[in-house]
Amino acid sequence: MKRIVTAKIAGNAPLTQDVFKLLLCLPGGDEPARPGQFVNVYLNDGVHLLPRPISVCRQEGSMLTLVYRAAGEGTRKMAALQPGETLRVSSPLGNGYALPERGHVLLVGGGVGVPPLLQTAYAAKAKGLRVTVAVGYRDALFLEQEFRAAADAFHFATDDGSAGFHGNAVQLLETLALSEGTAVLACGPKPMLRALQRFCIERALPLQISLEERMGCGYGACVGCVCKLRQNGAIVQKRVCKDGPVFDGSEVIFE
Amino acid sequence: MNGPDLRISFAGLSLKNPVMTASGTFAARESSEFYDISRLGAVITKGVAAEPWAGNPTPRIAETYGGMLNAVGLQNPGAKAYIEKELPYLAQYDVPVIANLAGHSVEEYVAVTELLNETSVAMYELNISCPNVKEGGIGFGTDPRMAARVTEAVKRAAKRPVMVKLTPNVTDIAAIAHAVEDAGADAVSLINTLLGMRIDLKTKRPLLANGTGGFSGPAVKPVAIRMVYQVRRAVKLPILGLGGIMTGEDAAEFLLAGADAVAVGTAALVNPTAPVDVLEELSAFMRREGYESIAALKAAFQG
Repeated sequence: MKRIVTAKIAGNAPLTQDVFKLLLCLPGGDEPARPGQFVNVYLNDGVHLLPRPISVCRQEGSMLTLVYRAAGEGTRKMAALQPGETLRVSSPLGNGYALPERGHVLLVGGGVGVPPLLQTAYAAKAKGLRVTVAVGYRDALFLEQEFRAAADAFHFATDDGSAGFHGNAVQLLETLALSEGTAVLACGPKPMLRALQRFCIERALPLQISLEERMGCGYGACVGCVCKLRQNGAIVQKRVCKDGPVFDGSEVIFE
Repeated sequence: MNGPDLRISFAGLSLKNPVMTASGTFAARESSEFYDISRLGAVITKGVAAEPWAGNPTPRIAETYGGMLNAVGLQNPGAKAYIEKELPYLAQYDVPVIANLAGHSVEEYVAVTELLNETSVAMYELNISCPNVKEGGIGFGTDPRMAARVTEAVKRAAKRPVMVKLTPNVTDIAAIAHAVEDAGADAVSLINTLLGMRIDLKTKRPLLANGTGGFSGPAVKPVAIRMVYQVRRAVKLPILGLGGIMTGEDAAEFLLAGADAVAVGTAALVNPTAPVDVLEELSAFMRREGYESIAALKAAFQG
């Protein structure tokens, strides 16, 4: 069964001004997270009752790494947690990416959509796939060394041009030579995903998109976090937390 | 000593305990991934209408001190999908199913009732109190005559007991309870969510795409307790009490106020196993306090 466990915080340090890396020591007993899955983080302090869904950046045995942006009250509170304290987290949730059996995968991310691509890069390498990572940052870089170690090729852009390619992740892709049939797996802000959808349709590249939406329960009960897909000519609504967060990129409707 | 006897009889149903799930916070497959739903007294499923409803645009969820706002707008796949997908899955569990019924008009409420009459559903919960749909829903729940009209029509069509879910967004909830009792309701459930609103200080727009939403969670419990207490004095009907129940002690408070059974809603979004946790805590509370039955606990109220 899925469950909520109490994890011990082994580290919680800033990678940039507002992006933090949280290391959690899990009690064990759960299936390891698949690439693209997330966990619900429960602050349970009476003010922040609802869980914070955070994508899994990396899981090695019982050590879970979450990289998150302290963007709102809840995540700022997470950022103040100290090693030695405990935190309640759920079993891994959501569907995750479907990795192809062979060939080349291109992982495209932006902002805090970048972290889940690390777990995905390791899983793809373990399957013998060739892995290219192309990500966009607002300004400061994070997880750069980790991606260089995990992937065959690592390309990056910054919005302000302070490092790497000046522009966004999709503009960066225009400069890369992509082989036919490359599977594109993406996570990031909606404008990036929308541009990437167009990019992939024009080049007939199969695309999987991980979406974000304001969630209630984070496990499929409340139907708070729906997105719209076009399937067989009809518009259908799917729950991002339970039916996703990863969807067929050709079906996602951006509004 | 054995544990207390938690069995109750509720509007003709024999239940193994008084703890249910609140509509809109329970989904059979998803909730059963976290706990054995057979342990509950009953499950109340998410609002279902005769035809599929798309619900409201996102964001549908916002947080607030001690609670949350939702404006899902009763998105549901319609009675056909409910009968073909949800009910067969629930059939493997030893738990009565109460179907929460949604409609935009008296005719639509009657239509969904008739569609579910030939199924395994044990009871209906008539949702005339959702604040997030423009027609129907709360429009029926805030006017005693409208509430009576829809109750009467559904009661005439229904082959199962009919429980009417009441809204707290009224001046006198006892008057509505009275009206639905006279119209033939078999039970009432209260409270649905309180109409609320929040504004994003960055964008200066409402946090919810719908503008307003239903406020629920531990912060609303005192309102719910007060209303259960008032309705208990106004009608003889069995009462399902809900609104902010997070613990077994909260459940005991509702029973003392006059509820005959309780439902756990928002707590299940905050903690997926909350319904069975509340059940265990209620049992432990009764054992600790020396109450051997739900009736004995209810009789202890000194108000």
